[in-house]
Amino acid sequence: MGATLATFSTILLGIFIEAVPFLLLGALVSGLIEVFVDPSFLERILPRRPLAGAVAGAFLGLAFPVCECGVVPVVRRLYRKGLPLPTGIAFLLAAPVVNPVVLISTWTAFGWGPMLLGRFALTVAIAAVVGLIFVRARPDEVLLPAVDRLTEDLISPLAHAAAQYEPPPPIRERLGKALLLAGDDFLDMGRYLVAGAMLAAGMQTLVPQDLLLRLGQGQLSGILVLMTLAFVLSVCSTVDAFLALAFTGTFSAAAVLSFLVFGPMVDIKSMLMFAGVFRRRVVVYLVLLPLLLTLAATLLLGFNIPLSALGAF
Amino acid sequence: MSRTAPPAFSGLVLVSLGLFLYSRWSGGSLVYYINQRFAGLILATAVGLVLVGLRLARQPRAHGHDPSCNHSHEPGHSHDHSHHGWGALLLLVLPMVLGLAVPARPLGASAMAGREIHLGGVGLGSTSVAFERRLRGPLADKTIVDWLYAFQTAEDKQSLLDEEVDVVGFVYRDAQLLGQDATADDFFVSRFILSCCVADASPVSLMVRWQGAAKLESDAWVRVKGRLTVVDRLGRPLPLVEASSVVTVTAPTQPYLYP
Repeated sequence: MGATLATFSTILLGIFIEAVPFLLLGALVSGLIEVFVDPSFLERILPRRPLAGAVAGAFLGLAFPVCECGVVPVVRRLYRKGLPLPTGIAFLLAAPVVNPVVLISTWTAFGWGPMLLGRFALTVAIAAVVGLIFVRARPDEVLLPAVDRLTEDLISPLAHAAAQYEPPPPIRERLGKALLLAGDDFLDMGRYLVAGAMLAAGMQTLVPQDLLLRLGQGQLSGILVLMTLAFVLSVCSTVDAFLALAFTGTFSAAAVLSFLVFGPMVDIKSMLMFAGVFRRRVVVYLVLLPLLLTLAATLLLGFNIPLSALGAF
Repeated sequence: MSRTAPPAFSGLVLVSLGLFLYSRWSGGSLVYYINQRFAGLILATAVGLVLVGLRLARQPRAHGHDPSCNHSHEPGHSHDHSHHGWGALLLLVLPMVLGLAVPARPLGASAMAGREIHLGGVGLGSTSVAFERRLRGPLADKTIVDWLYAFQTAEDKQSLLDEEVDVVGFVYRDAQLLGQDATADDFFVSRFILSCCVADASPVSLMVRWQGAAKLESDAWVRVKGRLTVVDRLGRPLPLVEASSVVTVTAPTQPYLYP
């Protein structure tokens, strides 16, 4: 019992300590966005059409290089600035892969080739599709009241008018406010991180991984096992490619790809962090949709089913 | 008592977290949890948390509403006040309490159960450049993972016969993994390899045969010196160290290996 508790404690602290810098970074970026980015700026630079907006959202990680812990406070803040729902969801799901650090680590692990391209392309496609699914949803149906309400405040005509006529406060004051907001965001999101890390550490301590690995010998079961493992392990997307390398001997390429695509979008700790932004029903969609889409896409690739075959449906 | 904590308490939680990270860094136990290359990042984070925490603590108390903040905001009202529930803050305190209450120790033999243990190779390809460089270096510098990699990549496994091995790891026993032909003299000398943090730790093990093995306690750190042989176990050739000496040592300051 003592040894199990020690293992649980080490894994929990490992996940937590590893994620804290990235959560703080995300919270700081979020604070800076709040004080320096004018809501009209987003309206000006982001495409108005939903499809273009979702695709742009999937690539937004190149501008805000954050991993799955840091992206959540940034998305939350951008929603408060009036970011359209599909763009934000596509950003949330894609940013942990579509950012320079992760692309380099994937390249280091797998080199130029189908794995890097497949990871990048599938992530962008799935994130954009999931984002588009929310195109007709109202923000109050999707976002938590605390996230949504300020959007209305900020885009209300009176708020706009007030912002236009008030001279911006001095830079020192704005930076101080950014720090304050960063602290708030960190505390808001930190509890979900702790809960997620506890759950992931519990699963890692109690669920035998070798049993899972033995189950995944077929194409479908291999994909399901590695997706489950990606969800349970909650490894940061910046290094998951190295972990995936260890599976290449045992699992099909499609299964390894499913690990690389699904894990960064959704894992235990990020799922709990989503709960700090979205309504519970939406969190379920944000887990199930990437799961089903990744499963379908990697199965198609795994069985070499030509996309033209889908025309029959 | 109010459902929301005063900003001073919120600030205190962040400052404590910063100090907690600093204590792991300065006490040397940080490497039990994460890859050593993140040490600088953790130190910077500790400083950042203290700064943010102090800023938060200086904030006057919010205007006394509940955590769901259900009042209607006036236009332009900004949400720059903190209003965190006690529960959320206590949850953040939990990892610190656990870190202080449970003595810090790296993953060891008890964490091996249920993990896929690499015995005849390391299953890694990309880091071969680093491995190759180490393999060309002095024999004494080779770790368990280097030997496993050398074994994995050698076309003729017999070419590694009689190589001198000198490695440090912890004692691990697994009757099933040792195979039916194992004797009481057989055990594993093991380490965990890490990419990022202990969440991605994966164990590597070299089989050892030594006459005094029965006296070794599981999880004890040992230095194994001997010669490499190749045996058929579990239906495949695996490296085995015929040990000439096994000495109990203190745990290394870097308990994990980084491929």
